[in-house]
Amino acid sequence: MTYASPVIDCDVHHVLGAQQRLYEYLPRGWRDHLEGNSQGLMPVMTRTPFATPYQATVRQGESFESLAGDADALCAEIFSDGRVERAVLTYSDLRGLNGLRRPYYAAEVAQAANRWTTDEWLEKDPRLFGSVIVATHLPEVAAKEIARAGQHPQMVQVILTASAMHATYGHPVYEPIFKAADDLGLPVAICDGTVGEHTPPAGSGGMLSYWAEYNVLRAQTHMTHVVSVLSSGTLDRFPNVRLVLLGGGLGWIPGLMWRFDADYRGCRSEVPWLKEMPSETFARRVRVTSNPLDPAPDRAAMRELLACFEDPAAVLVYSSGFPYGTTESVDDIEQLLDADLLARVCHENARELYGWPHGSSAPSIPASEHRSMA
Amino acid sequence: MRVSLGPPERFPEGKLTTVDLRGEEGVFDEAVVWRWHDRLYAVRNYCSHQGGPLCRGRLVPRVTADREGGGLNSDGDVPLLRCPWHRWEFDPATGRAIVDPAVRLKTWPITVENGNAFLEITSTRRMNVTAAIKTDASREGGHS
Repeated sequence: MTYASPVIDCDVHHVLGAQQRLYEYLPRGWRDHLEGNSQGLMPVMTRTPFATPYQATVRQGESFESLAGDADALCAEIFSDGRVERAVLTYSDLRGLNGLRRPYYAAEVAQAANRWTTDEWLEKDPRLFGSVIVATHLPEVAAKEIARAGQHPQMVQVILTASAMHATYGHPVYEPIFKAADDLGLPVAICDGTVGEHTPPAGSGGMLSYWAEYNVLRAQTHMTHVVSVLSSGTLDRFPNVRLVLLGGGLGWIPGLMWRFDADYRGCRSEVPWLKEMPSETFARRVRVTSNPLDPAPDRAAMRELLACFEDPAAVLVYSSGFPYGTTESVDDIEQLLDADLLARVCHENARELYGWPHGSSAPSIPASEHRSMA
Repeated sequence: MRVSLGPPERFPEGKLTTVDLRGEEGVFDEAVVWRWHDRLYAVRNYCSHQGGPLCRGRLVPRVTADREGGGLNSDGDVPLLRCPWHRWEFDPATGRAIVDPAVRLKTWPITVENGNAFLEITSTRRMNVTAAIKTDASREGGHS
């Protein structure tokens, strides 16, 4: 361990486990609706059809629920060594939300999920920060939910999972979502992959058959949405919004931006909403979570990869990806990242991204509650 | 050096015309000349990006976007010259690429005196330069 300063973890998956946990957060009318139409059972929300590898956790024999199913368990895991001062929760199984086919119901589930996150996570530990999840079927409704849930001081970003409407996130139909985020100055995080049975496939050419394919190709979702958002000028129209790419790695970015810049010189008049080189917008407005860090063969190769970015120290924000089997600690990423990058990657970039003041003290919990963190 | 191009009316409004520049050793350069709102423009027939033949390009409006919504504006006062190969757009007044101003076309100023247009060439090595419209290569802006 060489990096000994505080850490901000930007991608920690809090786990719902049983969808019925949200039942009490649904409005009475919707509970009655479910009682009357499906004996109270909630429609299946498919995260991914690749069940077995997906269930691998950071520690063998433990379940997602036991590691990250409630605030006490999660905090005991991620804060126990005293290195992480803040953690941003980004959901797990609830990322299948946009696979729900009932638009009004999906919006209610999103609101229930945000209430659940606020009540059972953020209110229990000031070191936890939340992501406002929205159903993208009805962008105006999603915007209202961002305006509501985003008021909580520990809600620090909006999270978009797979597109419910089969349109990419630069499509103007989604502008209410970006406007709502802009109004509150919240970054918008976009999930990798998130293939469900009723959402666009994570592989751009068609439906995938194996986890091995899905895991390698998960960044294709990011490629699609990033190119879409940049081409449509969304970030120009909403200057307070920054994108956060969750879980898709970074090796694909330089090549895509080289191609995008080259093509933009000839296609400017087709997409005049894009007012500068795509790579310039990307450098200023997009951040990438570290987990899973591209498994470069050695530190030198990673250094060469990062050198392809305009500001190699600025692009990454540290994320553990806990509790998935691909979880990476700061010690893990130190194996590939040079020491002079670690302060930016592990702390400063996230602090700037989420607007925490420079030198602000880490949130603390009352001593009487330390028991639950042990 | 001033090279006579003849009356401005030889260059139809909004159409790209190729002009051979001929010295004592023969043709040494090609210009693309066009007239827009009674002003003449001339650039070298060579795109500074990858050498595309600008004579086959198009004059296109400078399209810009509104900040909100999908509204587009078209600044038609001075159309841009678009290369046929990779669709790069250039400002004819400066020769600079719109997206990447560091890339610049060779431009030549044109003056009109007593009903005659003159191409202003800075080269001092050549004497007795003449200009001739290259009729077989002259063409309206083609599709790109």
